[in-house]
Amino acid sequence: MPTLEMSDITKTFYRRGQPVHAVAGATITVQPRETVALVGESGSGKSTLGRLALMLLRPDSGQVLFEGEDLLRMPPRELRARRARLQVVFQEPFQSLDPQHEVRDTVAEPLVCTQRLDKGALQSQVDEALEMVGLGAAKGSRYPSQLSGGEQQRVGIARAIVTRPALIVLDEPTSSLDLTVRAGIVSLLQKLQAELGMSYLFISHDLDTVHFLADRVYVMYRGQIVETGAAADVLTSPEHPYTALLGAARLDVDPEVPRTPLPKPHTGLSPAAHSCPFLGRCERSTDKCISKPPLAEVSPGRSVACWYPVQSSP
Amino acid sequence: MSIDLGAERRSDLVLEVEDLTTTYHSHGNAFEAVRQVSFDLVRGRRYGLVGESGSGKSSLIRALLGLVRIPNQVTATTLRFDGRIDLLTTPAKQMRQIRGAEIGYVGQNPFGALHPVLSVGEQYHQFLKAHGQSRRRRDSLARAAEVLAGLGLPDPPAVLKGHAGQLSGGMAQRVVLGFSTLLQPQFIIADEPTTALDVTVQRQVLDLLAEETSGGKRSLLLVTHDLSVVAQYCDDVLVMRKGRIVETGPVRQVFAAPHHPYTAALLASVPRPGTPPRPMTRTGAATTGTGCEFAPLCPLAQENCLVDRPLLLSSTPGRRAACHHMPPQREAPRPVSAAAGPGRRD
Repeated sequence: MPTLEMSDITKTFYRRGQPVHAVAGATITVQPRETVALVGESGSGKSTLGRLALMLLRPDSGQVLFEGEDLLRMPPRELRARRARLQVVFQEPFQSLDPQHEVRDTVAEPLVCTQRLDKGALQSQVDEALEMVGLGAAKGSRYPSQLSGGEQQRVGIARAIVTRPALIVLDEPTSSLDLTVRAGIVSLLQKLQAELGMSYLFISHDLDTVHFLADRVYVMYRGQIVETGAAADVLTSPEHPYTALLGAARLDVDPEVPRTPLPKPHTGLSPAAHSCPFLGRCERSTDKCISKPPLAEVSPGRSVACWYPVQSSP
Repeated sequence: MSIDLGAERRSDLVLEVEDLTTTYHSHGNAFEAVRQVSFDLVRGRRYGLVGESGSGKSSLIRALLGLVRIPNQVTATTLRFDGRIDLLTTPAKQMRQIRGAEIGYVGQNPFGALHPVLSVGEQYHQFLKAHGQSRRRRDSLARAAEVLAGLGLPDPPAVLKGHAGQLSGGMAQRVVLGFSTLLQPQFIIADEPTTALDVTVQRQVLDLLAEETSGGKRSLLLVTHDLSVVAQYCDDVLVMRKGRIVETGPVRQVFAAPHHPYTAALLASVPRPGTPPRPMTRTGAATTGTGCEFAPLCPLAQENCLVDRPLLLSSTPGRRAACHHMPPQREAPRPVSAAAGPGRRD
């Protein structure tokens, strides 16, 4: 049974009366112990999809199954208890912590909300979580402002693991951190998954970290999944022209590796409601792309929404 | 003082900085954000200034641009631009003419740089007017349109009529890049110009910046925390940590074999497929105020590192590093008299 199954999810926001289709028919699954990445540029809907998985937002249509149960039909009280299994780490560590709470109280919060524990049991579980993220129980009596950015993010991770969840949504957990700190957080996330066996839904625009951390990846563009497959395959031999563009825009840290020239878009056409969303930025587009290509399997476990996949129709 | 290189040699340098320190004063406390920094920038080259948050890279840039205000202070034995202008003593009014005309600047947030209410065209007109380059709006708009077209913006007249809020991040940053190149300054400083942008837009903006500084006439100082940006767009790199420059040299050489353990740690932190990023680990070594600031995190730290801060000295020709133990093949320590003082050795 998958840990998370989201099917045909749509979510529309309204900005100055205009609809913004943040998620427009996305289907994703996350298996137990799996790290699944959602990648895409800002505005692609990846964070919205993460919030929908967490039930911080309700979809306009679609189904959210978590450990086989329909979260959308679950009574609020039961959903609240279920949140112990479904946790989150946010992008901005400082903003996601209460400045007036000691770290220990912040980490205890998910336990207090979802379980009835005596004070001693609560304390020992909190201390254990703080140890596991490498902070040590002694840091528990600090306030967030007394910690570095990396330490703050470790508090956020301790709060997420304290209830032993089945799934953690990681919404750009390393984007606001320095490079050397980031490396520590990435290896911590990997270590915790090996020890505790939870799944990650990892939202990121950093393809290098995704390549390193994720088993599978979904590429989003304008609220739609345009490509999915094993992370190594999708990132090294992209099928969708948008994935290929993301790869080409990537800069290698080795000065000897030359930059890939960015493809020039074929600009005669512009996207419409029923066209391919990438029309207008795509170099491969033809008149056929005026009708939207379905997300179709090109090889086992690998799907792409394109009439002219890069590898299959060069 | 540095060795006198003679007038001819001098003119190759677009910027000479010696012993620059920036001190911020707040609530009775003094904090040195930039500490005794010395470097030269050769005309026509592209330099990458890397460091993590708090390393002092933006404070250094503000000092170069004359934007550090009382009660905060900048001191330096030399801060010379183009071999002729002392940036430390130039009056504020004259600095305003230098910024924009001789030194272009691109910041991180284009929407912070642009006026929210004035049209883009009006801002270009005021910019040109302030620099005595144009009196008539029509002339200003024509020049601005030309520059914007050169930066690949579609429909420049429409952009000039519109406001900053109507632009996407990538377009707004190109408008700012337009200001920094309009008067053909010989030196461009870009402080994290693409950090707020998506990867594809980042590539376009950096490619434009590279184009504007190609041909060896213009110099670029590109401030970033992204080593890949330096690897791909810069000739030379300056690595900063805790207010000091710890390593300088040609990008290819430094990235292939760093001479400072901190640079090595930064490079090892970059995630690469197959190899896990290596975080830095604390060795537990405690330093005194006179020791190397990197020693508590350094795998090479020894007794002398804890008490004696290494100076930024020439390690191999064209490269400098502030480390007692790297590169390992470095010759025996120089006599104390030669190594003492904050002077440069290259």
